[in-house]
Order: sequence, then C-alpha cells, then structure tokens
Amino acid sequence: MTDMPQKTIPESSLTGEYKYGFSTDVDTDTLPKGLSEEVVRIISQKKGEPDFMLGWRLNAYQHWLRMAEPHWPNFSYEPIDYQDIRYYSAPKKRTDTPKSLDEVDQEVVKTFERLGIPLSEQKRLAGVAVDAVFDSVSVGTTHQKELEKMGIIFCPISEAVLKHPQLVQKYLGSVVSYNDNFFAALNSAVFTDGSFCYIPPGVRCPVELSTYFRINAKETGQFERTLLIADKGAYVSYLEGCTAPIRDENQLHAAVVELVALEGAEIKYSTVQNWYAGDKDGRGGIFNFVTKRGKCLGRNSKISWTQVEAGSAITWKYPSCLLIGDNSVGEFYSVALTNNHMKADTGTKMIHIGKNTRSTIVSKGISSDYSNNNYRGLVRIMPGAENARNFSQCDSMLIGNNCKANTFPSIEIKNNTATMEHEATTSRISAEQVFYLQSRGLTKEEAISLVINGFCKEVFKTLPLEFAVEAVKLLEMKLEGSVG
Amino acid sequence: MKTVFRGTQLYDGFKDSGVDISALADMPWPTFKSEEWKYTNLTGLGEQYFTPVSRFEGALPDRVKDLFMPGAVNFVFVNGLFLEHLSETGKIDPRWQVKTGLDAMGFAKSSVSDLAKNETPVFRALNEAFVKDAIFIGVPQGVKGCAPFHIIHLLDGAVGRQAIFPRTFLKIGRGAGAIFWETVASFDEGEYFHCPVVEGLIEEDASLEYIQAQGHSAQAFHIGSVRIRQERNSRLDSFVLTTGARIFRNNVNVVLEGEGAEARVNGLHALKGDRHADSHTCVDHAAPNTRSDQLYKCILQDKAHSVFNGKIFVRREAQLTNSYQLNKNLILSRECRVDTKPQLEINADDVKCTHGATIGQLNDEELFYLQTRGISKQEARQMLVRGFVDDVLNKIVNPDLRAVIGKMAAF
Repeated sequence: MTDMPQKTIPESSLTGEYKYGFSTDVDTDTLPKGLSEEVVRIISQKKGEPDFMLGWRLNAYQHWLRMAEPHWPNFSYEPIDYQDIRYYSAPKKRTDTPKSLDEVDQEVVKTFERLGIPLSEQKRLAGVAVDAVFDSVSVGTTHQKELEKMGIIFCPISEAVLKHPQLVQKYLGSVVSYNDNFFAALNSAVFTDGSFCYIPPGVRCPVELSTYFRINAKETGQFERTLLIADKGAYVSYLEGCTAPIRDENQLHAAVVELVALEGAEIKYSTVQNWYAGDKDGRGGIFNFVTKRGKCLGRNSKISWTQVEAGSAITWKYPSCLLIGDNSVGEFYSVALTNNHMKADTGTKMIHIGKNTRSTIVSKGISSDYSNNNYRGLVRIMPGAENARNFSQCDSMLIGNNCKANTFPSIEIKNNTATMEHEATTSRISAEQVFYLQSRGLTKEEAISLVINGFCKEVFKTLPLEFAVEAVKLLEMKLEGSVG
Repeated sequence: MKTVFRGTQLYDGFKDSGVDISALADMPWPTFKSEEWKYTNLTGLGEQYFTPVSRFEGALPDRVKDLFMPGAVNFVFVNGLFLEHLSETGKIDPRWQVKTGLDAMGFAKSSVSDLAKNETPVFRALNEAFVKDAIFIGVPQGVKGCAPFHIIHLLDGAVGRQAIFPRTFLKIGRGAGAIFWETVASFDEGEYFHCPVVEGLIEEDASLEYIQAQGHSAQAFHIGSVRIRQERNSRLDSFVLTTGARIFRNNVNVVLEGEGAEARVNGLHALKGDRHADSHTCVDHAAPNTRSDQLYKCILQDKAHSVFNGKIFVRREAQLTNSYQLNKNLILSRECRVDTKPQLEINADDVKCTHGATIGQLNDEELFYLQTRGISKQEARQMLVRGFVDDVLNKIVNPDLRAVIGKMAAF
C-alpha cells in the first residue's frame, strides 16, 4: 500500500507565489482510494481505538450515507467524488509510535523546518508548543513534558483516545455532533488525527499551543479533528497554521474543531490558513470545508476566534460560539483575502442562550482579481438571553473590477432586552490614500499593502505576536502582482 | 410525475374558477428551507380555502368615504374590483391616461414584469392567472404638478373567504412627475388572501412619489409585490407602511437601469398583537452613477414578528454607485421577534455601499430623564416611540398624508 515516490516541484519555480508549494518524498502508509464501512473500521483499527470510538465512527458513517451534500454557498464547484479520495495517508515510521523526534522521518522534520515550524525541542525559545500533523497523522508534539507538569494535556487526538478515553468520550462530539452536517459527519467517520488539549482548572497555559497542518500526499483528503477543553478558570491561546503542496487537482480538507470553555475559562483560537489556493486560472487548490464551533458552557467563560484566511481554492467555514453560560463572551475577528479565482464564504454564528452574553464580530474582506468573497453570519438571541449584546462590523474592500464582495448577515432576535448593532461597508481601496503614499516615495504595491494592513489592523492586533507578523507578510505576498 | 401540493388546500378553492392551474401545481410551494421564506411560515396559508373573487355583492360600508383624501383623485376598488360610481373619474387631469378593467390588462406584458424573476414564482403565477380587474395610469411626457392619485383598496372579508389579485400599472413619461398613493383597508376582522402586483416604469428625468399604507385585518394573508424600473436621471420616492396581518409579505423590487437614477425606498412596520410583517427589498444598481437610500423602521409590541430582508445588488457596470440602507427595530415587549438580514452583493469596485441594522428597546436613561422633568412614564414612552417613528414618517412630503399614516401607525 505504499505509494510511488511523488514528483517534487522545485521550490525555485514558484517565484514567490506560493512558497509552501513543495511536496516531500516520504514513504507513506496509505489506504487505497474510496470510502466504505471497511475503510472506517481499518482507520479505527490502525489507531487501536477502543470500541466506543469505532461505534461512534460507524454511526457517523451511517448518518453521512443518508445526508446530502449541501450546495447553498454563493458559488459552485466541481462535484467531489468521495470514492476518489484516500482517507488515510501517514508517513511510515520506523517503529509503531515515535517515541521521540529522532524516530520521525527526517524528511518530515525537514518539511516542517522549511515551513518554519520548530519541531525540534532545542528551539524552545520560540515559546510555542507545536503539534504537527502531516497528512493524516500527528508526527510530533513539542514541549509535552513541561506542559505535563502543570497538568496540561496536549497531544495528538489519537493518543488522547487511548490515554484519556474518559475525557474524549465526554467531550468529543459534544459541540459538533457526528450528525451535525454533511462534512462534519464525514469527518467524524474518517478523522485520522488532530490535536487534543485539556487545561486543568485554574491553570493558565504559559506557552501558546499550536498545531501545524500539512497536506503532503496526493489525492488524499485531510480530516483532522481538534478538541480543546479549558476547565474552570483556565486560559489557553491556541494557534493553527496550514499549508499544502501545489497540485492540479482539488483536495478536500474537512476538519472539525470543537472548543469547550467551562466556568471562567478563556480560549483564544487563532488561525492563519494558507492552504494552496490554485493557480492563476483557478486550477487546483484545497477545498477548505471546515466546521469550527466553541461552547461557552460555564458562567463568565470566553471564546475568541481570530482567523486570517489567505489560502484555499474555496473556503467555506463559520467559526461559531454557543454562549450558554451567563455572562459569557464570544468574539470573532476575521480577515479573508481572496485573489485570482479564489472563493470564500465565511463568517460566524453567535448564538446567545445565557443571560448577559456578549459577542463581537469584526470581519474584513479583501477581494481582488476574479475572486468571490462573502461574509455570511448569524446572530441569534434566544428568549432566555436577557440583556444580550452584539456588535457586528463587516467591511469589504474591492481591488479591481472583476471581483465580488457580498455580505449576508442574518439577525434573529427573540428577546426584547437585546441590543444589537450591525454595520457593513463596501468600498474600493482609496485611490487618494494610495496616491499620497506614492507621492511619499512608496511603490504602488507598498502603498496598497500599507493601506490594506491599516484596513485589517483591528483584526491583526488580536493575533499573537508571531502570528501577526506572519499574517502581515502573508497578505503582502498574496497581493504581489495582483494589483493593477 | 406531478409534484403533489403537500399539506395544503389552497388550490382546491381555485379549481372551479375555470382557470387552468395545472402549471401552478408544478411550482414548489415555498418552505422555511428556502432562504427567501426562512422567517415567514407559509404552511398556514397553504391550508386555507379561498375562492378567487368574481364579483362584489356585499353592501359597501359608508365609512369608505372616510378614506378619501381631500385634494386627491380618489378611486375605489373593493376586493380588487373597480367601483366606478364611487370613484372620482371626473377629477382626473385630462392629459392623463387612466384605464381600468380589460383595457388596462393590455399593459400586462410590460418590461417591468421581468423584475418578477426575483420573486417566488408561485405568487407571480397566481396573480397572472387570477387577476380580475386592473388599473393603468399613464402620465404623458412633461406633465407634472397634477393632484395626487389615490387608490383605495377596500378588502371586505365579510363576503366570504376570497382571494384577491389586483394589478396596477404606472407609467410616468419623460420629464413627467406624479404622486401616487395607495391605501389598503379592511373594516372588519375578515379572512382573505390579498396578492397584489404594482408595476411602475419611470422614464427619463421623470419622478414618482409612491406611498402605500397597508392596513389589513389581523386574519388576513397578504403577499404583494411592487416592481419599479427606472430610466436615466429618474427619481423614485417610495414609502410602505404596514400594520401587519396574519401573514404579511411585501416585495419591493427596484432596478436603476439608467445612469443617474435615484431611488429612496422607505418603510415602517408598526406591529401589535400577534401580527406579522415581512418586507423584502431589492435595489438593483444596473447602471453607473446611481444612488439608493433605504430606511426601514420597525416597532413591535405584544407578540409581533417583524422580518426585514434588504438587498443591495451592484452590477459590474454600475460604477460610482452610492447606496445606503438602514434597518432599525424597536422592541417594546418581551415576546416580540425580529429577524433582519441586510444584504450587500457587490460586483463593481468603485462604489460606496453601506448598510446597518440595529435592534433595541427604549433607552432607560432617556425615559428617566423625561420623568425627572415631570412627564409620566407612559407619556415619556409615547414621546420616545413617536420620535423613533417620526424619523421615517418625515420622509413623506405631503402633510395630510403624513398625518393619516401617522395615525395608522400610532402606538
């Protein structure tokens, strides 16, 4: 079941367009294409999962069979052939489970080094604990020991299933159930890895936890699942980054992220998504169909989503908050940049259930070339949500006359003590501002980059420092050459 | 295989009308799964039994005269049928072209009808199939300054469960100007299904003020459409007031087709009891340099439910568009429900489009302040509500009409 070594695209040929577009030659353990109950069983078996997991996966698979693929977003795409995808691909390991990084294929370690992810523990100065997911499995998690001393569990989810089954059983699917939607059901049936994190009561996680996702193998889909639990009074800041090689065909990425914040807990979840977005003519790229949802379960809890969406041929996701606990807070900060033929339909849902719940939505969309950028959001205030408060702001910027920017906010209010404000603007990048900067000696591209950074500043300032720097660079790189 | 009209009996009442409704049965009946009908449940309407109106036999309440607007040309329709003896046909400016009945139907295939493609096909088809009486008003080139034209649609539910499908065509010629008012009123709490269509063409440099006051019975079903096509440098000032119904849905579709066209699309929902009102607006900027401005205010009490869906659509060629939309909701009691969805769809880059929505209750501090000045709480509330409503009422230019509508919208 080993693939032939794959053709590597030399990095030099990419001329700064997508610098993570290389692929890595590693021996992989891959399942043949196709999805069946058998495949689900094999995945579960390979992971040595307990029975409850297999049962859960099979339930999800049965539900998925009965569900229809949704087609409501504001764009269309070629039909996905679910039998033409490999549901499992893992770099071959020398032993069954890597005991230390030395046992991970050096090619994989190099890949992550090229991506700038410090996998080796020597680079502790980076101050980030990383769980790196390569295709379907987690290849290494750093800083595990220090975290363990504080009682923090940060490990691949497949490991958590074996070592902490009671936590997994309690929380897995408690936010996004296995039959939540078509892609979540598919993920529940075939998810291969992802990160698991548990912060015990009262612990403030001292480092930023991070997962780096990499799709490497051809014709694979990546179905990872992240589960984050912040117990009473805990705090965690979590980062997620993603890249993939350049390929002509579309690859499906259907992940699920679940966050649970108990009383007084706070979770900050930041994403810089830079999956391969296809070439100038819109060929290839990742379909990023992700379900992300957080539950503010306890009183005074807080979940904050920050996302910088700069990649993927299609991004279709709505990181959401269920504000159940009284006084809980949900936040959503997003920058979505689309160029060439990229399509993005993204936004958030804020469901206010508890009393005095508050939510803030700030979304910035930038669209250029032939791209299509949509904000879609829902703010729902349930009858019991006394004194709920929401503020939403969605701004769009258009660069060029072939792109689209749409805004679809839904607001549903069932309690008269609610206060909510929504505003949205759409406009062109200001020619005057660009002209002024050019008159001060900046090139047109620098000027535009500066104006856009200013436009996104409100969101960038909520990112952890390293990520903010990366995000600014990413936007600059993406906009290169797209400004006419 | 034909789609079975599931769980609904609405078409049963239409079977004996002699009109072929087989095409209707193939059209999907909207459910909450459709984005357009997400917040307005039509299952109740589908289960009703109504017969299309053929003639009016009831006695006309004298009160209809109370609805006449002084200084205007008043025309009366009862259950969608024109009553000539009550209408002030003599007062029409001789230059105007006014036709009713079959004569008016000749204009049915106007260019404006295309705008219906945004609407739910089944109601468009129902109106086309069952329209019994229509009115066409043509204002010739350059004619302006005439008295306002006022159509009174009296809906009488006492004569039995009727389905009423009126149609109005307006054509404002080049450089002409006209003021057009429409009052929909029901004197009793009867049950009826009202499905009107208004189509208007505003030619180059022409202007139209179009004001609709919809006062239905609490048991009524209303699904109506207003479609306006605007040519170069034309101007539309529109306002729709509704006090709701059991199900009230109004679509306002405006297309700005000529350069420099300008549209103001305003509205007010004043809802009490368990009334419902759903306004869908769509302003389509299809030419460069067009402007639109929308203000919809909703005020709710008891168990009322208000839905607003406003769409601004800017086509690729519509550069230099300037578009503004605001929806404000004031909720006065616990069990009200508000759903709002302001939408922007922009395909041109050199544009300025803004929309906003707010939902809230009366400000406690403002109430307190007024009370410290010796104003009773009740009075203070009324003052604040009045202030909220006046903002949009003041968009109505004519003071008489503003007073009438203000009274209808009183809280």
